[in-house]
Amino acid sequence: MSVRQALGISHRIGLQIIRSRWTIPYLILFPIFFIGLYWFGFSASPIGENQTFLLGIINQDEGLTDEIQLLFQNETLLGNGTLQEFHSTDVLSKGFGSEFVNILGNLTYNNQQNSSHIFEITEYSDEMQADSKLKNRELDIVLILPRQFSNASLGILNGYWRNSYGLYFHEYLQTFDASIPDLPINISEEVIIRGDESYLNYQIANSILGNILNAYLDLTSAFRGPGGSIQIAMNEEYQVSIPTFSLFGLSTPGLIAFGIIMQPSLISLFFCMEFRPKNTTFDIIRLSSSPTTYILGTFLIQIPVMIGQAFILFTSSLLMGFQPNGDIILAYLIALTILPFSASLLYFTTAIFSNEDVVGTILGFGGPFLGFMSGAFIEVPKIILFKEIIPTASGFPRDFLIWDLIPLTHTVSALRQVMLYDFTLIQVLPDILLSFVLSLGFFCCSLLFFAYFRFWRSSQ
Amino acid sequence: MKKIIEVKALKKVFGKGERQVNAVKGISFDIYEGEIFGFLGPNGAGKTTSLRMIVGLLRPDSGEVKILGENPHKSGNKLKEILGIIPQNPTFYEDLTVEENLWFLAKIYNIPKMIAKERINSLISRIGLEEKKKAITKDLSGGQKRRLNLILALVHDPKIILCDEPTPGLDPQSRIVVWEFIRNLPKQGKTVILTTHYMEEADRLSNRVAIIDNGEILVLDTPENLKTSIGEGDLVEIEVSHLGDTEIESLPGYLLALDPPLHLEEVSTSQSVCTIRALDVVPKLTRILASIENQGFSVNNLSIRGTTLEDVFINLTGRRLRS
Repeated sequence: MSVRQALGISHRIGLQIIRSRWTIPYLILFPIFFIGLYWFGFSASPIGENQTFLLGIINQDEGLTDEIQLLFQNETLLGNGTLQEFHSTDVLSKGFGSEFVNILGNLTYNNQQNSSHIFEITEYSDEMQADSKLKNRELDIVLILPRQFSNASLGILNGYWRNSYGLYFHEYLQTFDASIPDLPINISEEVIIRGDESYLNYQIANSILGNILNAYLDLTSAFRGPGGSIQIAMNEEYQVSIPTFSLFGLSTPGLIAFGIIMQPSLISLFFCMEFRPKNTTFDIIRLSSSPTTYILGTFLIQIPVMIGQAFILFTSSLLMGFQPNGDIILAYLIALTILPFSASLLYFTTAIFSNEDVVGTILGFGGPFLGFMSGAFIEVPKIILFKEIIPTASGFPRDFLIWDLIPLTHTVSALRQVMLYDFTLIQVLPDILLSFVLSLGFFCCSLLFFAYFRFWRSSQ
Repeated sequence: MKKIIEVKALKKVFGKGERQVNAVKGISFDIYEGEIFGFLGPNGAGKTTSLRMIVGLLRPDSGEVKILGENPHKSGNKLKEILGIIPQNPTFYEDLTVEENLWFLAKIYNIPKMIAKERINSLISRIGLEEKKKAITKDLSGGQKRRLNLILALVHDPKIILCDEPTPGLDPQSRIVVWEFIRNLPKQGKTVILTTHYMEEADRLSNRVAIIDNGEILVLDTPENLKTSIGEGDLVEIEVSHLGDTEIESLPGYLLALDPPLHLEEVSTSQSVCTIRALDVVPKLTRILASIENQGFSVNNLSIRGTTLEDVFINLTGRRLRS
């Protein structure tokens, strides 16, 4: 295999794309038209607005230690009432966990049309029971507050104090009384959120819950320093921005994926022109290069085309009002790296088994079919192949559905989670890896089939 | 001369059952370095199938091909560099220019840039496409496309060139250019295998010709030997109209039985044409024509020509090449 040969093939297809009268308009206008059509039809269709989500909570928080509680209850300690307000909250006796659960339970949608609660909370002591409810979709999402939640929260407060005044809070107190014990510092505890990542309600609820947790941490920073009162006013005005979704917004990651898978089909069309009856160009290819070189060459040309497509699709959707809740750069990177791989499934299958007419049909039906089946536009029915085998960031393994065989499913899922629900790279890593592995598997199978059908069997 | 290609008992069958076609029925021959070897036969005779098996594009059912001692089906990339194929149909991309098509092949054959540049310019010049080198291929005339097809196979400077029907549909001028180009290839040390159903093409270009029909090689020799093998002398073709009661089929017997004899080698008829082959035929023409008219025929047309490979084919098969 020679890279120069592969680049020669790429260059040739590139020239054909540029020269073809309809290719460039297709590559540029199709995504804009498609995104535009969806925007026109569905941008005013809100999803999940004012919906109450079923939240299961397992509160394992053990609260603050007696020693710390005693410290804060000792009003005479400082003699100036500095801790009064802090003492007035329930945090000391019940712990930060209970307080946080109360906050979640009291949250309402703050708009004029509706003041319904965001979460309907059920508390569980047994994780298994909550998980079982989650599987049956009797719960949308489960939140597990860890044992050290209160201490960790106090540790965060302590950290803020140090960042602001150069001393930990206990160091400040110890200037008055050296016998005051140390308060927690940098306690690392993980809040666990579980749910079925393929379930729309979970995705929206998770996004909201993520915002609340961030706001909670911001609020604890309102812990004020010397001279003022010390408080964590968690029961007071609690403003959380609730992400809003429209059908257009929810569909945008799928649309981007779909727009990009359409162009490998187009390249397949150029590819399949080699196999026209009475076209002997492929004879020359067979006599001059290997199947691997040919595949690589046709694959390489997709990269610049795909970058252009991704750019057009992202820019169009942003200009039309799509507001990403997550990291657009990460989403863009996913689209430019994993999407080409997952799109290769359609591309190589097309190239190997088809002639031009079939490619035409696939262009018409195959793309949208795979788009739908991968959940790009709609939530697909749950047809389970293997139960609970796909690891997720939440630690709650999800089922392997029949649609999970399509690499594109995972790419769309990763894109959606990043763009809509602000998932991080680590959180979408299982999907990215699955997409990559499946695509690579299909790529290898396709290569074998290609060598067999186009190189070996055609010489029989 | 060095044997460059050996073909032994090559067979190929397509289809099964009632649809089975024995495309090539165990052909054997050798090709020597620097010769133009012609495969002459009608369409469907098995020429292209044989060519594809020789080059390695089609796997034979049985038999063996060796190119410089190597089996093209087992040699991997070894033989790719020394083989150049000019198929009947275009091997270029219509959206690309003449030059781009040549550069594409130079790249996929991994030819260093400097060598490729020089070779491409030389080929374009030799085939007379300098003015069209920047032209998009689909805008070329049929003849120009054929010429481009020809030089595409030479970009990687192969030792053996397999040329499948290079001139069908060409105007006379382009045909002459193509013939000249092919004729000059052995001077550059190349061996050419040419398939054609044009007897004139095979006759003019080939050092040796294999006449193939129904998947079998009927004869293999130099064009001259093939022509003389069916008899000496020139051919007179006389087109007649029937005036009296005598049937045209009776003419051969009548002419051969004339006394004193005309010493005709062969007389045959087909529809309204009587074909006579004889040595030193011109002085005999007056008596031939008079005898024909005596039999109640009127002579409409007359032509004298040498023996062609078509005559050889007719002699062997009883059919014309294009029938």
